[in-house]
Amino acid sequence: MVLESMMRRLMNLLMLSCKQATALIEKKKLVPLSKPEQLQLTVHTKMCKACSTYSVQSDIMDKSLQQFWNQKKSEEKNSLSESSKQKIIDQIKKM
Amino acid sequence: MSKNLVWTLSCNLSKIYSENLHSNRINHLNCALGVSNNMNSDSQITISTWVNLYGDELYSWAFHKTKKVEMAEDMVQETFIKAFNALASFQEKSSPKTWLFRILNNLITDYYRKSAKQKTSSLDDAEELTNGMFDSMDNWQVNGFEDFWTKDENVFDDIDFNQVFDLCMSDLPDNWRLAVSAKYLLHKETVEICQELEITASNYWQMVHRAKLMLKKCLETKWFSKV
Repeated sequence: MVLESMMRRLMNLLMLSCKQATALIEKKKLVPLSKPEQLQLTVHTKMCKACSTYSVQSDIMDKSLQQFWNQKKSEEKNSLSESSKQKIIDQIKKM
Repeated sequence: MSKNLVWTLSCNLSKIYSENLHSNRINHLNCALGVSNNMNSDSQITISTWVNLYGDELYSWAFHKTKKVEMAEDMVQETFIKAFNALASFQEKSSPKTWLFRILNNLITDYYRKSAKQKTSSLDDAEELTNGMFDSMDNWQVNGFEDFWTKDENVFDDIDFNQVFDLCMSDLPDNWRLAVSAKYLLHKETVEICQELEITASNYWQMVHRAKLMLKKCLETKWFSKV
């Protein structure tokens, strides 16, 4: 137990915590990582099963997000109702 | 020229316009209303005509950019009010449509910026929730559902999953939801997204990170723990 906790502390010092590693997984998708960041992330995900799983989960979430917004797009209503137009016109008339 | 004559002329003009657009009904109505209310300002007539001519296109664009019916309607209304107040400064250099779209786009940008900076009351809770997914050393608190993710490859076709995903999206604080959606709403690269939202790149990916942690937690609790 003590050894394990010491190892974890050492790992955090040398590499990254899981929170930092997952942050880098997301960062990598949006902006280029620096060389040290790349190295730290590679080492961490090689050793940490939970984080390599997170990486897969993150891709699944991206796919879900893409689908979520595509679906919303297909639900798009393309015209303003006549009553909304009338409401705007009435508003303008009051000015 | 009497005001009434101006009105009648303008009505007839807009009828000719709108007959081409197959939507003359409302214009007739406006003209009737306009006359009976003695609507006597040229600006009001101009704007009313534009509402009928360009309202649909403006609304469609606003909805495409916000995905919220009410928000899109409000923005279109705001566009016309702004146009009405600034009509004197409108020069015929650009077409009315271009001008109206410029006003609307400014409103959309303002809306994005406001959402990106908004600190909602749930933000603290959300931060606490995502912090709670890690232990004191910032390593994972394993919950046992991690492996369920990859078991069902057809999960995206599942209507129930999509409903849960909808629910999890609505749980996110507004600015996190915007961060994670910006790519799909703006169809732009990171640099441009950050410019548009007036946030730094690190601010952007940090919000995306938090949002996805929260989505993960929500999906595991509401979906993967149940299938």
